[in-house]
Amino acid sequence: MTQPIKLHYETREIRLPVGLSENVEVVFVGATIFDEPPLPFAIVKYELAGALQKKGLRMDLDKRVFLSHFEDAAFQAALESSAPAVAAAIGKARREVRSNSAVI
Amino acid sequence: MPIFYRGAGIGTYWHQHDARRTGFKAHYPGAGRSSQVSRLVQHIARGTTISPFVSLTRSYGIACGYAWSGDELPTFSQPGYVYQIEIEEQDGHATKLLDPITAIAKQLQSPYEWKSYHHDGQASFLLGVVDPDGHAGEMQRTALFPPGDRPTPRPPQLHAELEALVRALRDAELLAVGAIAKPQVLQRWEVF
Repeated sequence: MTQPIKLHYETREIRLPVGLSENVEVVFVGATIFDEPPLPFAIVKYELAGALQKKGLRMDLDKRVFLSHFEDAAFQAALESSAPAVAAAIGKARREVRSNSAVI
Repeated sequence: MPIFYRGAGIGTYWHQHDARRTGFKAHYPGAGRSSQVSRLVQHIARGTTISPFVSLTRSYGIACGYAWSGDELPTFSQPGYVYQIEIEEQDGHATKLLDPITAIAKQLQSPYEWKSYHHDGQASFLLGVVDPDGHAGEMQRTALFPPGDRPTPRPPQLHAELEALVRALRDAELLAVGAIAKPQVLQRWEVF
C-alpha cells in the first residue's frame, strides 16, 4: 500500500454574486478555484432550499458546464441553464485576482 | 507500451467504484455507430457523460487535475484517484481507442464542404476559445466583413467541432469506445 501523493496545488475561495440561478431554490454562493497550477475547474458551493450543501458541484470553466449530473430533472435543468452565468462570474473573479496580483 | 491515465475526483463514479475490480464502462455503451463523431463532439465540447466513450489522457498531469476536481477537495484521508491503464492495439481485449482529433478531422476532410470547423474571427479569436476566462473579450469581438457585406453585427462563429478539437488538445485526450477490461487497469494512485 503506497502513501497518497501530495500535489501541492494552491486553491482560493471566491464569493459569487446573487441572482445567478433562475430557480429560487438553488443559490450559488461561492467557489473553490485553482490558482497554481491554474486548472480550468471549479468546485461551486450552493444552497438548496436555504441549506448550504456540504458537497459542491464540479464545473469545467472552459466548457462552461457543470460536470456533476443529477437524477432530479428540475435540479439538473437549473444547473444546465445557470452554468454559463456561473462560469462567467467565476471567470470575472479570476481576472480580478490576476489583476490584483499583477499590481502587487 | 501505450500508457493512459484517468483522474477521478471525489464524488465521481470512478471514485465511488474501483475500476481495478471492474474495469471501466461507458455510461451509454449502446450508442449507434452512425452518430459516433457527433456524440464524440458532444462528449468533449459539452462534457456529456451519457455517451459511449470513456475519456482517457496521455498526461499524468491532466489526470491529476481531474483527480483534484471532485465535489470537494481531496485530503490525505480522502484522496482523489489517478488510474493507470495500458491498452495495446492487439491485446485480446475488445477495447477500441479513438483519437478525437483524427476522428473529427476525418469528418471534415473536404474544404469544399459547407460544414466546417473554421471560425470567421480574427487571429486572437482562438485565444478566447482556448482560454475563455483570460481572454473573454476575444470571444465577443465583432466579426469583420468585406466592404459591401452588411450582415447583422455578431461575434465570430465557433463550431462545436473546433471547440472539441481545442478541448481534446487541452486534455491530451483519447476515447475508449465501450469498455476497458479489468486487466488493462494497471494501478490506481491516491493524490491530494
